[in-house]
Amino acid sequence: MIPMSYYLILSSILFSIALAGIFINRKNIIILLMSLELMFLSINFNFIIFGNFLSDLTGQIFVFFVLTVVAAESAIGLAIIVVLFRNKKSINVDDIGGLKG
Amino acid sequence: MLIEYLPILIFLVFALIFASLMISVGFAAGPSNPDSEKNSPYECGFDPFEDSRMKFDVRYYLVAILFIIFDLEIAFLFPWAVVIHEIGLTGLLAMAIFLLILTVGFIYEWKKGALEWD
Amino acid sequence: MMNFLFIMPEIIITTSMSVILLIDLFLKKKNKIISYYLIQFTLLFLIFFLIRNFEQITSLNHQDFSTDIFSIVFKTILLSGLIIIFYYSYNFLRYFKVYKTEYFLICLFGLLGMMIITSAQDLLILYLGIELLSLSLYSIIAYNKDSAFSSEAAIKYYVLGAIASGFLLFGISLIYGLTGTISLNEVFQFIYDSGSRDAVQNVGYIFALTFIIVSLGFKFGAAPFHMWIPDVYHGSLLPTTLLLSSLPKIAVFIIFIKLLLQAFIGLFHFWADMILILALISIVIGNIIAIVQTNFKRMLAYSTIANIGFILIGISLGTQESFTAATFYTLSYVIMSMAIFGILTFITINGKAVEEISDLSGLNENHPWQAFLILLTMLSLAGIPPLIGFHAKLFLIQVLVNSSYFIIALFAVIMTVIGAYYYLRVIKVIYFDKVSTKINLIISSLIVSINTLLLLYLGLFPYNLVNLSKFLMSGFFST
Repeated sequence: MIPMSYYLILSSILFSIALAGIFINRKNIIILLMSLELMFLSINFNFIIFGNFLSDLTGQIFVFFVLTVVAAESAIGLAIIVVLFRNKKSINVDDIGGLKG
Repeated sequence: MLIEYLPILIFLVFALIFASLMISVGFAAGPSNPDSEKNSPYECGFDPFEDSRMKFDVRYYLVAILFIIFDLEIAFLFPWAVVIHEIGLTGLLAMAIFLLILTVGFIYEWKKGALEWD
Repeated sequence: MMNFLFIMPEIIITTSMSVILLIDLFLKKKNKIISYYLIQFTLLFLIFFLIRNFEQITSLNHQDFSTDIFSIVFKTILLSGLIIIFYYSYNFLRYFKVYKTEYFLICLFGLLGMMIITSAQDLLILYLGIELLSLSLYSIIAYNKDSAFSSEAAIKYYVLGAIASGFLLFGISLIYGLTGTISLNEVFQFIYDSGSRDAVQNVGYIFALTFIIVSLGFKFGAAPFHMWIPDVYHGSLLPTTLLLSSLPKIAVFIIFIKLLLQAFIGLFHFWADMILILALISIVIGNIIAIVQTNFKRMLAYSTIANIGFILIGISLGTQESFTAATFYTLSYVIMSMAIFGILTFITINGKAVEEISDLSGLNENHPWQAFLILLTMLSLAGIPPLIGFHAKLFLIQVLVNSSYFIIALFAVIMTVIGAYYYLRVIKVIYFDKVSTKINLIISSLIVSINTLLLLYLGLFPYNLVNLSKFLMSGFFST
């Protein structure tokens, strides 16, 4: 039996990678979306582990809903990117800086 | 403790060996006569861009957006189908309402012309 | 047969949204006005429905989805607020020819999310409500398709909002792991029962609370997580700013109540200081940076941040009195911000929407009544008697003094005085500067006048609103 802390460390590492991916990434918004997805997957991992160790189904049901919400979220993210691209002809993070002050 | 991970290690080693074996066999035994058309980059759906770092076609994103929604519908339908005998009429009605709402969205997409490629 | 009455308002909204969406698809362009009236009718009907079935709904008791008086009253407030906001938005969108029924439908999705938040008794349902609200806000900000500012604001808000949701979810997952339940009352009970915790559990709770509070601070717009507020207020259309600055604030305040007061009150000594620090930073940043703003929407954005700081002070004390003061402050702030943005949606400068403060210079000469309305809201925001903003601040400072937080009370007073400067500057521009632009009104300002005079009325007779806030909070402290 693998102890629970190992799983938790793994999910924390995934979460940190996702956060780093968001903040370090200076190029493409699509990569940003991927990092967000990774973040939510690491959280799902957390829920599944807890659900498993508590022998409770709630965790897994929670994961189901989170997956749905994240899919809707990335759909909206893609839509916003499309609008942004039509306006700016670019989806580079560096080109976003019109609002300052 | 660590001995529990031994199968994974063996699996990884075998995977590496097999993968490299197959690739090297392909290189060594396959016929190879390249020309310019074969070597040039090809991408389905639109002309290859000049700048390889900027690949962006809005239409793919629209398809992706639509895909995600119906992809998830399946994710809900499968577990529902497994337990349909236990949840009975209530489950059937709930799923019918769920699909109805999705259909409303689908009709909306269709009427707005989001399903057309051009 | 299950009784669906407790979730009937949500069902009605979902059904009418689907039906109106389909009707709107088959309407001709000039008949789209029908769908607007259908939406308004739905909202009115819902208010009627809630009041009519008040007794019956509040007597139902559902484990995961409460329909107590607290949630019904807040639902009624949200619905009536949205009707007024829709009225303002509709005229603005028609005038600038960017009207689409989808705008209102997306707002209705947001309303659905907010209604779910008010009723949620369960972390999962609460999360779904929050997401429904945030997702509709993302899309409503990007609504103005032709403006680069709008889509830029949307992508910023989207990325930061998604990170905040991730943080919230991470916190929730830790809470679930620690307590083994996601029901708010059971979480409360678990923390209450396990009086003495070991160090590991304490660290776990602190971790979870930090994540949750960071995310809520972001959703509320508290500094140092306020970066999105000025950009989003600036970038989006005026009706969107109007919506953003009003109803979601109530919703997020309810989330604070649900999480901190209902579930984590046993961990009060962990979260009180975090919230207080957020509050103080927000008040400083909001009031100081607002002084140098020239864009009206940006200035109001920083004023929002400062006001949120005041609300958070009320939350951080954690007593019944302080939560009552915070509720009172939230409600009065929402009325104020609806009034000021409502007035702005009616005014056009050389055929464009209001942007800079200097756009309004000399408004008094041609439109004295509108100038007077802006004067009232500005004085109310600055906290000058006898307007409601004064009572809101007074009430909060009284609570601070009663709990012997004298230094923080003094600090709040000083910051209010500093804040008054930039509100008074607007008044100076309106009354004493030369006319430099051609200012027109879109339509008559009857409703917005009522909305603004409400500030004066409630300022003169604040006891109804005080009693309402007391009544709403009493349920959480009765046990």
